[in-house]
Amino acid sequence: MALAKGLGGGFPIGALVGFGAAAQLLQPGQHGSTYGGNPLATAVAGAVLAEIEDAGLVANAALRGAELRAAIAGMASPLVAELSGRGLLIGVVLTRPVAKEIVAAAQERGLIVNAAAESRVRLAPPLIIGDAEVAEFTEKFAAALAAVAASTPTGATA
Amino acid sequence: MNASTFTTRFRAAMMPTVPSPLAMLSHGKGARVWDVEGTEYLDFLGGIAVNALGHAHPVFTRAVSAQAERLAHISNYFASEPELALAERLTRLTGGDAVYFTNSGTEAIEAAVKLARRTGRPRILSLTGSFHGRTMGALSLTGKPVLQDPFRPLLPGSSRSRRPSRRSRRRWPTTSPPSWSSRSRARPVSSTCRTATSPPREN
Ligand SMILES: Cc1ncc(COP(=O)(O)O)c(C=O)c1O
Repeated sequence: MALAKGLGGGFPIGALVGFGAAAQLLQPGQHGSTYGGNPLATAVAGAVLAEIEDAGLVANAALRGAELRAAIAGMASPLVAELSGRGLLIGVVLTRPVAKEIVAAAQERGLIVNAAAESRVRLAPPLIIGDAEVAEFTEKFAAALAAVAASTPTGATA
Repeated sequence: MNASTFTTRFRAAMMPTVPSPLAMLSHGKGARVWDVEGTEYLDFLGGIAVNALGHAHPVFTRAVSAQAERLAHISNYFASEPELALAERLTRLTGGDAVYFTNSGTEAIEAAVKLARRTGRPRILSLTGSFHGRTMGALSLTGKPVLQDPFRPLLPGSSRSRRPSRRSRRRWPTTSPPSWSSRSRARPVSSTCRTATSPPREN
């Protein structure tokens, strides 16, 4: 199992976890890294994972993810086809290839989201978000969707 | 610093591997970041699914500074308490048995590729449309020809499958991989790049 991304909460670190016999396949001298596993990176990752566990952030991700999905569905935008992903990793699948336009419209309104593909906006907020962030996202993302829907031709789907 | 200034500096000093930056950011707190002109943003990208605790979380900043004051780097001739504690935490959380540490996701995949080679089985399967990273091994497994084509030839033995086979899903994780290929990855949710549950649907 290959891990990286949020493992260090912003400190660069990845890991490969071996299961069963696979855990013993790489023998002494067969692989290595100057920096891999150094005390600084592993201490930070350990602290980040401990906080995720202690503060119940996995449950928060599930809760806030459900809130965000409901909020986006509630916008009833003609640009949104469906939602994919899990928890706080959310793909907003679009009916038209306007992801870049939505990202720009959101940024103008003080919201950073990402165009994962031409017809897909990706949301990956930190796991710590609460009511205030969900409310602010809802207002700004709805405005960005509305602006793009108003400025691009309707009807034609991608 | 206005947009044209940082864009000009970026173009002059950086290899053009990414398009022009969207803004020049200066600092962050929680789910918020500010650019160098003081504009505030709600950050719902989180460094592409990296900033789990948001920006400048006290747990993060304390961990960085406390460990930097104690011992930042040694070498793999030595062990350290944070290293072993994290390895133990990861085996507990994942149910796995042993850990190899890297500095990035793509290197974790490279390690998996080398581990897969050690099974003696020559093939490695990955999903069509998947993303595994940019180094040559991980790129060979990335199911996006547009990213691979400029860098052929790729790693021998890598091939693509539309979806995880029943067999590999049933057997993951296991100590006895399917005999026709070495199997190092089978992901229930495909890469964040696609933000999709498998199978992915578009490029
Ligand atoms: C699923 C997946 N695998 C691998 C990688 C590569 O990780 P890194 O950029 O840390 O090398 C990424 C990063 O985007 C990813 O999303």
